[in-house]
Amino acid sequence: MSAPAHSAGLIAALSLAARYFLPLLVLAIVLLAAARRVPVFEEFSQGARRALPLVFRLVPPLVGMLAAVSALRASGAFDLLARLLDPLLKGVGFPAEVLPLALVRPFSGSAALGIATEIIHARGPDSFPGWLASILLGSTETTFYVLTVYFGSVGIRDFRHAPWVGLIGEMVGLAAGFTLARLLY
Amino acid sequence: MPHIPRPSLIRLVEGKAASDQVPEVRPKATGGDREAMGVINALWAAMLILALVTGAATGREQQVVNALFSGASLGAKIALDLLGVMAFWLGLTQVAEKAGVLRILTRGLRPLVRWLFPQVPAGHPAEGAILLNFTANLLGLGNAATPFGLLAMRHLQDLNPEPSRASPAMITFLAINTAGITLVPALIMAVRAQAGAADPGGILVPCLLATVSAAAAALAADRLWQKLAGGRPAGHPAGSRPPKPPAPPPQIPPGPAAPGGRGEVHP
Repeated sequence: MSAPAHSAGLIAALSLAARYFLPLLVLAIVLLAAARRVPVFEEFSQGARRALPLVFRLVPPLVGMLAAVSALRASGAFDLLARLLDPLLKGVGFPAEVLPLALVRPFSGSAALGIATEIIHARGPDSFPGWLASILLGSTETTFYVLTVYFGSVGIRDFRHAPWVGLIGEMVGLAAGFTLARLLY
Repeated sequence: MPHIPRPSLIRLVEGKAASDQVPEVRPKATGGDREAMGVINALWAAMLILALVTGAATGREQQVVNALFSGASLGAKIALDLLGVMAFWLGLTQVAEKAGVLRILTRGLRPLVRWLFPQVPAGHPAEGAILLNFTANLLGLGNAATPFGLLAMRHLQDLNPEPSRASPAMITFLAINTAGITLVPALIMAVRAQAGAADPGGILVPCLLATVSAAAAALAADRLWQKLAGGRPAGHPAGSRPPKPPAPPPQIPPGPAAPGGRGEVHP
């Protein structure tokens, strides 16, 4: 991925931020907790226990999606799709196999996770499709689901322009995710 | 109606919101959370059909069947493999919560919320619920975020002159919420770590930037829309009341429990 020279500084800054963000966050949490005499390990263990039900709940959607996407990959449908969409996708450098992920993302978090996981495993987490899938997964939210649940909970029927606003956010999130994935790869 | 006790979070917001009860989120019987299942049902069927038909057409039906099984067992293996990283992160999140990180974030976000929701009077319970929802989302506490989000909707509904129509404040609230701003998308990091990525956390900053741009775009679209619609402009001076004061307080049915918590499956 070549980038224009003038943005090299920005990219360097972003890479630096990406490298230190997580260690600094963890450090800040632990320092703050220690300073406030939080019984860190006890609290940690209690919080960690919440991961068990979460992981169990992930089994069905991951099994379903990994089976379907693996089958799709083995059938050669992705190659076909890529050849079909070549004129459209070639120019922007978007891998065809990542398309289903972008389609599913606004509707279901766990289905999107399943599709992204398959790509990350089949192509490698550090391949461009794997990297892009990871970033796109974290670039937006399950917009339509959130709208339905939140409005439904108070009996709102007329959503007015909220779905459009959500859709614009979704598009911008995916476009920004794709651009950043290319810049930082 | 039973309520989920979240004492440590609730204590954060002083004033009225603190005494509010968090709406119940009915635990869902089936698999994933936050689904809009109709589309997914159709898509899953379409993927399988397409795989089997293409496989038959290209003479790869055996590979397709093998891939179904190997994909299924890989899915289960990965799900269980995520336990380590997710447990670590959720444990760390609880430490952060006890250390008062939520309170710090809540205080920092208050001016932003005042600016975003001029229709919500300062100190109104809706403000507290919105703040807690944003903070919990930011920390990736999807579970805790949903009840606060539903609570915020209920309080915003109290301010809504037309109970069946989305109010400007609600649309702004959802514009931010659907952008999905999170400091640490833990699940993705866990998947990458489990797959042996050189730098599992390298996605954090791009994801944060992408979600912030999404939120900014959604907000801009929302404001523009409200301006063009000619209705009440989004930007009242802070603290002013909405133009149409709600007549009698609308009768809010105790909101039907959401079909699922946002969240456990946090992006």
